[in-house]
Amino acid sequence: MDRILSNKWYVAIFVLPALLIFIAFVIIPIITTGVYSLYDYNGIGEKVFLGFSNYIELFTKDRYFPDSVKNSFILVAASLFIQLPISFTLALILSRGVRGEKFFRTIYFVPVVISSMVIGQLWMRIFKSDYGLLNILIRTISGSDFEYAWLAQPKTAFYATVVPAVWQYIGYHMLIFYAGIKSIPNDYYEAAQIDGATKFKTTLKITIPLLSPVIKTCMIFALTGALRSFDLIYVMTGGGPNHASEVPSTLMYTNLFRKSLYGYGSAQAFFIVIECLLFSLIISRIFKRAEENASSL
Amino acid sequence: MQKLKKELQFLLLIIIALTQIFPLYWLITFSLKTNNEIFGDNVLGLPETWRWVNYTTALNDGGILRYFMNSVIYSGLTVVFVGILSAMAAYAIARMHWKHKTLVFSIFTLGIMIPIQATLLPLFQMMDWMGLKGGYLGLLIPYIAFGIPMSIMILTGFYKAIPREMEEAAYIDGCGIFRSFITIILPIMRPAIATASIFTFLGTWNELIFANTLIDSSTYRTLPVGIMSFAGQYTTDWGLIGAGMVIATLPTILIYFLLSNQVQQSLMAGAVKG
Amino acid sequence: MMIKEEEIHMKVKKIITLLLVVAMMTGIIGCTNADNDASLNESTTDNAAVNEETSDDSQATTDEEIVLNVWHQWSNDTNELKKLYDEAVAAYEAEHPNVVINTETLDTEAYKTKIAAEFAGSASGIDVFYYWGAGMARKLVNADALLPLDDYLTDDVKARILPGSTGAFEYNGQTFSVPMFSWYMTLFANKALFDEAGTKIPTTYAELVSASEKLLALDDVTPFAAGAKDGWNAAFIYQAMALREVGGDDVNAMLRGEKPFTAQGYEEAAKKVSELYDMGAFGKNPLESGNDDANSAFITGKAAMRLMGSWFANQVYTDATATIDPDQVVAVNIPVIEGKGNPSDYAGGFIESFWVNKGTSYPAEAAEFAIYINEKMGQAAYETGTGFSGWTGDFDESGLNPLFIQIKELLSEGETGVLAWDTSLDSEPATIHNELVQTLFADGFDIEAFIEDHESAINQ
Repeated sequence: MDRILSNKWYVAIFVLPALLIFIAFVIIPIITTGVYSLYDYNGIGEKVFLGFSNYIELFTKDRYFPDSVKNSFILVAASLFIQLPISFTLALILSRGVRGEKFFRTIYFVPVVISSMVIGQLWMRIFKSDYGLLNILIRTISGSDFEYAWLAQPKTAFYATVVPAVWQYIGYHMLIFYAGIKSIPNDYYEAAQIDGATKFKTTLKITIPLLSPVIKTCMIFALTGALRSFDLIYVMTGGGPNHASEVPSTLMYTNLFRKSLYGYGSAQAFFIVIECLLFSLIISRIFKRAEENASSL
Repeated sequence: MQKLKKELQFLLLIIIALTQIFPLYWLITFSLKTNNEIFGDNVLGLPETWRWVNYTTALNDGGILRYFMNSVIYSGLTVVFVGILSAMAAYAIARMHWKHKTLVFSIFTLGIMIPIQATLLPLFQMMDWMGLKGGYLGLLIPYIAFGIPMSIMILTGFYKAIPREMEEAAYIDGCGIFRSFITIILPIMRPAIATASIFTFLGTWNELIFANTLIDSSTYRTLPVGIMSFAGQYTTDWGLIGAGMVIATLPTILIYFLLSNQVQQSLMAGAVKG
Repeated sequence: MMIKEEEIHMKVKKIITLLLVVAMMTGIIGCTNADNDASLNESTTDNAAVNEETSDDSQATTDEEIVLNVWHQWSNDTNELKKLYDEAVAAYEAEHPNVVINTETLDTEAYKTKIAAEFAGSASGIDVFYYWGAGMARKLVNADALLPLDDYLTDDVKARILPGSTGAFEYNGQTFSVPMFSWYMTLFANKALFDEAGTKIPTTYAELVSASEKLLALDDVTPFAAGAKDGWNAAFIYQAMALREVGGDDVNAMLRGEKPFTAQGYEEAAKKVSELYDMGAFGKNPLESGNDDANSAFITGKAAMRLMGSWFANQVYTDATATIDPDQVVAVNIPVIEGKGNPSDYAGGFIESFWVNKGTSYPAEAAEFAIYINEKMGQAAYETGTGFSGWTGDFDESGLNPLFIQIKELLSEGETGVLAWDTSLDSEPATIHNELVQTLFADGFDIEAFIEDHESAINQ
């Protein structure tokens, strides 16, 4: 068998189709974006080599990019510190056995299968100042004339887009945590119970550490997802009002396809790539160190 | 004390379930209402008269049926091709012996980290240059390319869990690699492939930015893009837009409910192995 | 574990069959949809006899089926122009049985993005397309992407074109398109609401402010529907003020790059718009509503004023969702600012038309259709009271609505016209301008940043 499994021709047949398509339509475009980012290019005229000045401009001359990065970090924080804890708590409760467990599991996941486009349109209408669901509820409860435009006022526009972003994938992460928790053998819990540990301590000292690879994966997905978030914001505000809700992807999109600033837009795109890689690396390192510390105890 | 905690927990579950579902309930009900009801008279309740005309208009004028079929075609074909290509590549990485397999695996892993919008412009130019922009392939090929890495990640995990003995037995019996793969390995991998396919399907069905940029003609447009332009056209008619959105959403929700067991099992298995 | 040979054969056969089926399906889908395209868009016109006088192309005799991909931005079914266009196409196809017109539409912002992206490539799916001349088409001309139409313009066609209407379509001595219809920026006012508020329709800025104050007292009425969510709507309002403050000639000079964007007037104009926002003339959240929302607000009596192009006159009369009495709507000029500018300055002009992609496979047919559709739409727009034709001819004036006739009179007194700025500027400053004007409709407006950013964008 080993001889068959080492046969170069067979390996090639199995790997090459996927690899070639992937390299051609993913890797090469990424590299192209990186190359474009070093030029001043509007798609029609000549390319002018600029070196790294596009990147420097991102933080020195661009009025909106630094704030867009700040926004994307806010989204990351919301995902990591609001969404994931909620998902985790739900997973804990459900895994311990409740009435209608399957019902809840199913319901929580429903927003995940809905297109972001529909979610965006729906929440736009929830946030509308005059007939939106939220303001109608507020008016009914407070009896006042409340007509605040959540999505059209620069102060709240971005935060309003964070709400559906966090809302949509709670069920997704919950399911993954749930699976992880369920896969922990009962012996651990039994041993802990014998030792008289409280539920809280059990969670802290047993569940979480054993779940660490799952938590790591969830964090990386949530984080990279937040950094490159586009769909919801594009639909709900388009980056407005007046760039208050921009994130790097929406700015990139405008620069590429409205202003035809292909070089500069590519620099913004590549910035996002580097961000994602960097943060994934950081999270992996943190977990590795935590694991090493844990095992050395 | 324990009982109180349990009751509180249950209350929390109910509240969160409500927040997950209520927006949908609102969507479905306002898709059947008149603007007057939506805007003031009857915001939260069930519609007084059920305006099915919203649905017939959406289906006929909006071209939504066509967009729905297009999304089915894109997602279906992507799932099939990604399934085949990644099943083979993942097997090679997980089980075959060759020098560069870790390198290749890392290349695929990179794909998951990459934000797809960073490839938008070059892909746009590539598809244009290859003459593929006016047709299904222009969007299908990028979808397949981007679906591959996740699928490979999930499948390699599952492949590694197959006992060596099973494989060996197949080869001992004199099966060539293809026979062994197709008749023995693949059937074992069925749940894994189902898991990977669900991820691929979800990623493709709801995708917006590629579909928005790479497809121009309304003939090949996908559902998300279609709904977006539909909503742009009829901004002031909430009922009509609501109907369009429900048409776009209900099928996936129904399929999800029917297969919810399978979906959840697959996702959970994939999560743990991956 | 003995596995029978036959079983393996069967399974392998099954899988290969499945792959073949999938491959075939992909192929079939690819082919079918190419066919579906053609059949979907063939108009169901009767087989009228070919009209000999229209066609002088040698291509026509070969009876080869020619498909022209035509793009435009009238995607909304409530848009009268869309209907007129469809009718003109049907008539053309009836007269040219070998030509099939395949039309695609997207709405304005998406449309601009699409065209820009397409022409970064070969734009192979576009033969004839709607676009704006002057500054917008300039980059396409510079990239040699447009087909000059000089060779296809016969003398009698040229004779029918209105003198002075071709400025935005000529570059470097070549003609790349012909006019269609012009637009005129008009202030639409709902007299019934003004009467209710006890104030009169404004002719000066001061009157505009006091009218807005009175209108604010009305329940559920916004004095001025801005539609600022769409940048170009916000731009209209600012540009109107700037026109009055600075004067048409100077604004045109600025747009041509001959004068810098630093005149005091631009700052004053911005301050005035911001002042109107602060007093609530545009409602509480003008950035929440776009063009369609604001139009809808006006025709349902929720807004007393709307600054829009002359094409809006038609919608006031024909939109099925309108609830106001159209005869109560009055068309007036942009309010003047005492002591500044010229009252005869106006915003508008000939800017939109259909153009031909230089890379088209059928230059003669595409050019012929482009010239035809421009003239037809020009005529149709006038006859339905949507725009002012760039062509002379015997037009049927019976369909003109009273609003349009009012605007026509206003236009006849106009002297210097200024096109919308985003059609005169290059795409980057145009986009920046449309974004900057939106800051006028929110709290915390920064006048210095407004001027500074305009200067750096425009004074290249």
